Amino acid sequence: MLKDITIGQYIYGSSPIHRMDPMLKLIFVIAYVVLLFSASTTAGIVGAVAFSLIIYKISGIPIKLIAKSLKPIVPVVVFTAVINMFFIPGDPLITIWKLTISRQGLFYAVILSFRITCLISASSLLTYTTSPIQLTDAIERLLSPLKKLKMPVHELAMMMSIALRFIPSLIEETDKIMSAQKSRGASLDSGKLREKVKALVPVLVPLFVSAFRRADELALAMECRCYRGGEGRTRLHESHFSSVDAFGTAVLVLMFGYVIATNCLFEAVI
Amino acid sequence: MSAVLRAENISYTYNPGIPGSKPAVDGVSLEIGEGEFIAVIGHTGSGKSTLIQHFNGLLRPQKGRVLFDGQDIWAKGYDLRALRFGVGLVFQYPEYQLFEETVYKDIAFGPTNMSLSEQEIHRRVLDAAGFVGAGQYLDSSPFELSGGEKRRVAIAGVLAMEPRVLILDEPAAGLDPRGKKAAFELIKNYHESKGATVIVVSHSMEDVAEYAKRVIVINRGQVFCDGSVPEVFKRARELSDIGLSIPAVTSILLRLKEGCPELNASCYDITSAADAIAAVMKERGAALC
Repeated sequence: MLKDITIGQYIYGSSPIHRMDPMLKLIFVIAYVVLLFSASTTAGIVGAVAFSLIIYKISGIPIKLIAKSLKPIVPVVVFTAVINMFFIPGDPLITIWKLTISRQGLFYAVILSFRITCLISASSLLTYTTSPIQLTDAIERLLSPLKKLKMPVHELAMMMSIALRFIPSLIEETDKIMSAQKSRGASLDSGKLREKVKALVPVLVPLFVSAFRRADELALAMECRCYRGGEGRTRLHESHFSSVDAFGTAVLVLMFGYVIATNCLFEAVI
Repeated sequence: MSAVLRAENISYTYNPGIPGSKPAVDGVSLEIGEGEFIAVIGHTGSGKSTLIQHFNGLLRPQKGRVLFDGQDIWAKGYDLRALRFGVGLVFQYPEYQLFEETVYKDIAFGPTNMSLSEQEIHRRVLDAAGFVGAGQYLDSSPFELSGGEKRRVAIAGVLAMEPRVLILDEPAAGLDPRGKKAAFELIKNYHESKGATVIVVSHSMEDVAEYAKRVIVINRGQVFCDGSVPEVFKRARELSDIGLSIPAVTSILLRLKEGCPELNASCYDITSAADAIAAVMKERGAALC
């Protein structure tokens, strides 16, 4: 049952989106979010939404998965949309008791829902097409200017990758310990809350012991291989600015141009 | 001999539906008689561990039935916990399941879950600890013990439930030859003194040949062969073809047999191998030097 949990949600593939430099991808997602919120005309918003649909199409990630990643945020979207609908002043459309829905409010609510949806789907596309290790690598490179300020950037990234790497191992371990204790008659899923918490002890203690043991062994193994932090360390995968990256940058710059142009040419809706 | 455990055509696939997933157990039917000492042999990934987890209800077969004392364990209203007290399963590397402050408390965990009386728990803990030779460190913390001691304490934790069927998954994994022998001796003692049914899972035939009466070889989730130790060892060549290591003695005899076909090559210990070679030499009239 615990095995069904998938963390990171990386989906293997070889599309141009997968091949793009992970750091660039990270920057693009941030840029795209800026773009989404700076587009203030209908044409701009429609363009931004279409853009994310096209990128999904190119990445080869099944559309079904967007729905999956959007599911948890539906309440948030609905809540913000409803609040905005009532609180943006403008030409009144409907009045219920003391609350008024204005034309602008309704419009804003719709656009906001689109913005949040696109924001979530763009960032989940990042995790769908970038492995956790690539992602931590990207974060490390992105933050590397902070090294000048004595921030232990490499160490932070290393901690993140180790944590991510051990999630599946620990899940497996938990599964095994749970089975072993169930074989000794532990009932892990019945009883009152108090009993349930007490029943966790036989699982948690061995799990902690084994996590510490693993940490110890890993530290020893790293030391045996002369690991001593990020100083002067070279990488296995050097990143090169490839044609995919160049094309991606060009597309994003064009998108920005399009949004700025629509913002100047058309009347702002919000 | 009546069947205490019976598997009827069971199949199990991890992550069904994902492309490329093959059944770990594929249509296995087995009958385990009361009081048998059985070795289940198969190489890594052959499905032997998956198979035994069906025997105490940790895994539910996707096809087929598992019967304990003639009752379907997945029938409605069947008490799985009671089954687990009757069929004790010792996992691979059981020392990682220790959690209590003292060895005594850890061994008592199983019997306490059975809601036995205070005296009965006490008796069983002492009994089980005596079996595995852990009597002298009942009051120490299990985490202070050495690897081999921890292993024995963990086995005692299952023995203390006094299961009628004891299943052990690679009980000797990672132990030195002496520790291995000690582990198998204590399993044998439990088998003989309590008249319990014992199933030992292993990837090495050499380890179990001396103790088991019946050997079940599992390959690719199916029963490859099932019979007494000599019966199975007659097929030593096929066994090494499916990637199992056969005892060194047997493989030497097999090589010798190429030169003299009348040699009985199904031996697995040095004494009987020597006898077999002597018999051939006598027949041929060669001098025994």
